[in-house]
Amino acid sequence: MNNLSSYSYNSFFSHIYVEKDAMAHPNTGKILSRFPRAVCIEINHYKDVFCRGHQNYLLQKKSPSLILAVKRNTYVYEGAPVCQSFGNRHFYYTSSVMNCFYDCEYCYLQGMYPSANIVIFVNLEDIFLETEKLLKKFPVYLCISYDTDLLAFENILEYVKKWQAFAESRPDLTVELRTKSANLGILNQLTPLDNFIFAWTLSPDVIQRAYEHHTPSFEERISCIEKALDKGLRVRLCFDPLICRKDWQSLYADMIRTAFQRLPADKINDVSLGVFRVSRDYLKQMRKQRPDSAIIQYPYENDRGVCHYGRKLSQEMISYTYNLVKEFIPEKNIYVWKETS
Amino acid sequence: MILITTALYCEALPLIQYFHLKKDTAFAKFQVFKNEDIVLLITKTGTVQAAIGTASLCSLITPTLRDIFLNLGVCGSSREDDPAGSIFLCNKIMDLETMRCFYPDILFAHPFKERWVLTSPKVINTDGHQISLPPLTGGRPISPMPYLIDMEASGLYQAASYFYQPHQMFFLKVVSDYLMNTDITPDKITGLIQKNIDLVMEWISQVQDELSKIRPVFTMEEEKYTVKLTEALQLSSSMELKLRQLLKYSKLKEGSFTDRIRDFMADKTLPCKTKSEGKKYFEQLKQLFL
Repeated sequence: MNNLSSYSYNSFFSHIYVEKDAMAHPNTGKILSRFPRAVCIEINHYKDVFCRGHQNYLLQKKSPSLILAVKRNTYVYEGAPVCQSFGNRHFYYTSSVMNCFYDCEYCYLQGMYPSANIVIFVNLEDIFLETEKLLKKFPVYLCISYDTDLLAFENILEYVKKWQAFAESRPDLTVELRTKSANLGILNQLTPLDNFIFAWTLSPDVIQRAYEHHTPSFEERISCIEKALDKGLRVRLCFDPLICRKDWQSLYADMIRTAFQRLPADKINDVSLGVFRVSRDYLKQMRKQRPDSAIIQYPYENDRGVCHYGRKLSQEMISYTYNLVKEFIPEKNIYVWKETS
Repeated sequence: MILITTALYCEALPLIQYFHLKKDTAFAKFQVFKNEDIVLLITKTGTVQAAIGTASLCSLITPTLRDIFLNLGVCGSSREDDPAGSIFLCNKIMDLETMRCFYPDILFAHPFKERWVLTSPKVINTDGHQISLPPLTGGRPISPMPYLIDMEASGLYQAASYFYQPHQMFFLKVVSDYLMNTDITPDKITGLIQKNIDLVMEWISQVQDELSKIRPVFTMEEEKYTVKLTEALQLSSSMELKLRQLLKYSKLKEGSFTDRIRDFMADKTLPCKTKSEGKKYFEQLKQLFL
């Protein structure tokens, strides 16, 4: 599919669908007040819009709608095997938002969800309650920004601040917030906490420009991380996913060296490394949704239901980047995603 | 291609004249008018007729991702201050019989006001009384919305959604009455549609320009080469899928692959005599294209 120009598309969030049950929630009012010109459409259940058949993810990405909904039944999930647990025994994740403001071509969300519209669950308090129940049983490592980028939405939602306030008085809870955001203004409003990790994903400039649409550049992300470290926030760097190109070695070598020239390595909590991998079922859907993306159409090897570059190339990429990172970061603080993990 | 549906001939008439459409007599059960780019279907009134007409036509002329489904017709309005002839793009369709709701995607910027439409199984004539509806909103934070009433939209949406994606379907409704006994005539309906036709078709043509940019990854020639190579290498179905994946990646990365395939095939004694020979060549292709 050729790239479509965007002049004739509605602006982001020109339409906001609101579940009847979410109407009276205070978060709904706050979110709607950010979009006074949006067309609001009442719905019974978010799935009536989000799970319609035959939606075009790629075109919806040009003009995504918001769906405000109430999360029901399950609030916190066990971590998936394709995700890095960082050695934590009780590894969980939660989705207060489904889908992302950014449009990364390699993102598994386009294989996981039938729509590019963004669902915001307004009842964050119910997720807190569920987390509280888990914390009564054992310490919890909770990723709160897997299926979205919460920091990128902070101007609208202020969920990160709420999570920080929740985590502050619960030392048995460790929160990981993964992001590509470079929202410097927001950083001033965040509190340094020992149990709150800001995990920035970094990609070489060329990869960012080619595949991570609408995301801040490498330079912008680095500047934001510098400020976060100055402020005393706990920072994790994620060189994940590593993307293969003919020049991947020089690209990643340059990026990793530049990152550690700019950032004080002794202040970095840890580093995560992982090659691009995705479940076979998600990849199938991603290929359908994004027929014009070389990164998605690469003939990956299917290794027991997980598609990646193949063991040899994957190991080569990991080992190469690992050796680069270990020049700056103690090996005990470098986490590598392995197929068996 | 644009598939336009109207319920009545008097709604279709301005479109037939605007596009110089000719009647296609091959369709016996419904009136169909066509030119090269447009097919106009007159469904008659009611959701079932609308769904049957749409499904039968779409089964014969299978729509692609570049095509558009447009329903243009008159409707009633709950607001008497909507001037007759006001046109609305529907962002929600509620079937009053089943109470199910349907949501076309509104991805493209447009010059219309938006409204939701209730599809009724029978003619609504309230004579000034409000019709009985489910609670439309809790009143907060969205104020109660005015609505339109028609008799086809939900049937059309349900049938068309088998063939079109939600962003390819457009429901444009022109206000003709206010749910009371009126002296609406076929001529007046034709006039109301006529009044909006320039605006509608100018916008639809812009949408069509956008959608026409969607192209399959392989050109016809590349598709031909892919089939030729598959046959020459005697590939199984699963190997063929792998080959297609490899070629698709190569096309996106390096551009057309036909020359490279031609050279590759010229260099070999083809067709392969055994499957294992085909597999060996496939591995060579992988080295060449990755």
